[in-house]
Amino acid sequence: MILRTELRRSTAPVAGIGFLVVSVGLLYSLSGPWGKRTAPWDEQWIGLAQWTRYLALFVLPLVIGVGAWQGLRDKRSKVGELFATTPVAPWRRALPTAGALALAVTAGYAGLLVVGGVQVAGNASYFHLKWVPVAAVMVLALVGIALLGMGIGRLVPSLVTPPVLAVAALVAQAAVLQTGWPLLLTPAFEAPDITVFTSVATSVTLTQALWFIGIGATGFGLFVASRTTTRLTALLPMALSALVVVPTLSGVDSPVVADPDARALVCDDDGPRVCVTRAHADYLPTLVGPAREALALMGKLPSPPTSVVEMPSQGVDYRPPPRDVVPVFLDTWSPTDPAKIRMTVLSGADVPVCDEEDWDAVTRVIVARTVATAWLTGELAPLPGWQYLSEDESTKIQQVWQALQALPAAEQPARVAALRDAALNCRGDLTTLLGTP
Amino acid sequence: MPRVVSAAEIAPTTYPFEIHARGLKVRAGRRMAVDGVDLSLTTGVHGLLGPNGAGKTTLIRALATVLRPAGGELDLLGGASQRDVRRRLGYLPQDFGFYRRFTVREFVEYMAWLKEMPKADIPGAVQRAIDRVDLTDRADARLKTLSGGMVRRAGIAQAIVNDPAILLLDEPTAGLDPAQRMHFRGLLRDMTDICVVVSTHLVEDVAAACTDVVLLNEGRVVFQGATEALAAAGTETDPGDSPIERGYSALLAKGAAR
Repeated sequence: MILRTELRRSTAPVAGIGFLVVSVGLLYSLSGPWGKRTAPWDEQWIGLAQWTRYLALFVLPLVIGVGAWQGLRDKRSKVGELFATTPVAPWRRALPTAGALALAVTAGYAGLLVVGGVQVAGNASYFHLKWVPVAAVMVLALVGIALLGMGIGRLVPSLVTPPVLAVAALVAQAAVLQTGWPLLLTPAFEAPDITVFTSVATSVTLTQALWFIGIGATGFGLFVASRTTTRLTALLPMALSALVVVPTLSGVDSPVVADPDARALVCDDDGPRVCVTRAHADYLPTLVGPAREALALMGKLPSPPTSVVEMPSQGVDYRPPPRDVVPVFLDTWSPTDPAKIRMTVLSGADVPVCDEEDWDAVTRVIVARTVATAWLTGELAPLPGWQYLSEDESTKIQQVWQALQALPAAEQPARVAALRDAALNCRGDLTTLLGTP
Repeated sequence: MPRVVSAAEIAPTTYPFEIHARGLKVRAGRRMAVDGVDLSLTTGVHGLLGPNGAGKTTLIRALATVLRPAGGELDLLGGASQRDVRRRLGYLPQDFGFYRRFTVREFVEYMAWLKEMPKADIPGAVQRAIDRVDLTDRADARLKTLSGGMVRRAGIAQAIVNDPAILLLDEPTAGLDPAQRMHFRGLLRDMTDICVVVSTHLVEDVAAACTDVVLLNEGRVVFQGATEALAAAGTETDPGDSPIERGYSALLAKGAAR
């Protein structure tokens, strides 16, 4: 009864609905990182959990501000005198108020998970439950921060407290964004730590859970306390959890660990072997045909590759695959167009350009790969993603293409094979290998 | 539906006075605003009269268990525990604070919950309290939409929702128009079976609604007795427009001369 009243009349609905509206608004109106990379928030379960936590950077200031506004209510309403004559203890009286706010932010986040989850369910072929604890930590964080806002609102009952607190939260989060482990004291992750092939380390999840529970307990304590001694006592949960949390999190190199299930291979062996990771199992049917066509074309190389295997390119160290394997990196593109798939596989796939900083080196790699692919298909065409090259680069491609064709027919396969080998292992000047003057 | 009467309501009282104070001293800040009050009040409507600064609000706040006495003794409901006293207390502070976004019904319900009423009794008790203060048709209006007079009545509704044994009203008629004040006095006259303490500086409220009067001046009781006795204390030469006002002036003047 009282909880229902608080759910309707306190700031709880503002917090819950505001959270959902701002989050969904951000996700759809801005082209943020959450739609890119390997685990978009609406395509992979782990991406849903981690990107919705990434949004904490924007929505936690709102939550702490609304919490502080709630914390001001008793002072602004001047109910202290009247309520002091009632038998109910302050902590008991605070329960429905805090409970309503906690329920509302939880419902708001659940709503966000439903909005994303419906889409993920339609998009993802890889279902797992590793995302659930990651999302659960966000619930603890939202509730903890909302309660901390309430507590501070009660401690400093001024009209400027909510906006000041919100801005302070924003500044604090911006300050820890590029600093490594301190970001783990917030629910957010750095964007590179959000990939389909990784999940959040259990130790990080547990430590963060402890941290946000400590924050929530301190917030509730401050909200209930009225004397200096009880207020100091209320700081204990946060301080004690910091004693555990700070040493643990500061020793964390990366909050994510490899997800072996996501990386397990799913293969089609009806013909030359074509494999994708489980995370991308739904790509296999479209990949198989063009990939085999490409393998057939590569048959004219000396000791040609016999299989196409997906490898994760991000979130892990790249290791060169065996010579008979053509790697593909589906986390950087989605295979839909068969011609593009064939070209990508033929061009040595999109093996990372070894030195991305040096633009000249990148150009040389593109030139070499374009020519090698042309040799395999018999037709000079731009590589997928490299349609627009400068005149110099186009000229260079023509030169190398002609130089390669000028070589004796018996030598050409060896040159192309050497190029592929060098590209996969990051060595040598690729164009020279093709026999350019 | 007939109301279920709880055992506590019909249990005989085991104490002679709802409010019993001996040499009560209460501080308001540094000042000893109530300085040695002896008071024994039983059922009935007791008007607490006195000039501004006489200690009326401080005394009421001590009776409401907001302030702890600085000296003397204060027994409420025969020395019941503070929690029991608070359950059976109704209080309308001078500066009545409330949650503006709540409706009348929600706020009265909230107060009933704070007074630890049994859950099943709350909806009925809330409706009765709202009916008694004539806010039935505004029961589901938000408090912030009510006029000052209606807010006072909502304040009285929250004070009586738990059928209190002690009802403390601090300046309840402030902000009420004459018709509302008349209605309020009618309400008071019905409360014969509980101990009501009404603090006011309006002598005519006392005359109209109270069975007896406690006159407070400079933190002490200068008179306690029936309303008629207060009227009888004055003479034609004392300032005032009514017998009670003249009695009030006479007693205050006597107290000051002493």
